[in-house]
Amino acid sequence: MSLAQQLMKAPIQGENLTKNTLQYSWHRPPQFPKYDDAFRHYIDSVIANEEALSGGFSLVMSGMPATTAISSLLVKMVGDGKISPDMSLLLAGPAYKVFTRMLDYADIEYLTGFESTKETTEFFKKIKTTTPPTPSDEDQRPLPKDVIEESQDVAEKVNMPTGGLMGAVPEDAEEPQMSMDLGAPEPTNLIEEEMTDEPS
Amino acid sequence: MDNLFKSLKKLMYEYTHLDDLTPRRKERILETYSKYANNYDFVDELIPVKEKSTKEEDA
Repeated sequence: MSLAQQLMKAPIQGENLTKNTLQYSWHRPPQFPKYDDAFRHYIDSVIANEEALSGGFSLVMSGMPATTAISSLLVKMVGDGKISPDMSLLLAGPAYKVFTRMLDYADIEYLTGFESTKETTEFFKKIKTTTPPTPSDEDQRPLPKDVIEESQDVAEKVNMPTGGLMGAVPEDAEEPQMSMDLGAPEPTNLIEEEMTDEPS
Repeated sequence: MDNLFKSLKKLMYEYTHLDDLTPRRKERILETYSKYANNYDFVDELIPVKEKSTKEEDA
């Protein structure tokens, strides 16, 4: 595209005022305008959420600094319209502290993001040399017979419909009877026509 | 956007390295969070610092 074409396609002055900018969630008021609510949301959605936390752990274990992980998360929260950019600055310190404490508890070695270049290089060298954990022989042992038999008995007791949950109901199955208490009919303002047997 | 990431990183450092800051800056950070229920002490005690095992201490 030539420069002249680009200039022709450029927005005219004041065009931004005619655009509907409310389609972006960060242009609307945030969902959590108060710090306490925002911090609680962070704890509920990240720290207490096993899936999100394990995702964060795996990112950090692969070499991403904790500061970057938390920054990305906060920017995503801003993008989703959960918090305002100012709130992300207020939330940064507490969010980072809680996340790193969780990493310390899980005995995970990680980059904080404040290390020197030499320390970072050493960390990545260490990651390359260490092998990922493999299941031990004890974990791969076959289950005892009584445990297998018991699990089979339990599986037989569970009356799962054949063909999956949406499968056809067996013929000998009893039809469930539902009783509905409709109660007395409520009075309405409609005028009811009286039925008469008289010929018109 | 780059400035936002830099600001976030700076604030994370200041929040977790209070002792390295000047007394005035330290007081300002504590004062910022003191008006909320989830203040500095609350966040600090939310997940306590993991104590080192006796084996590590012996070594």
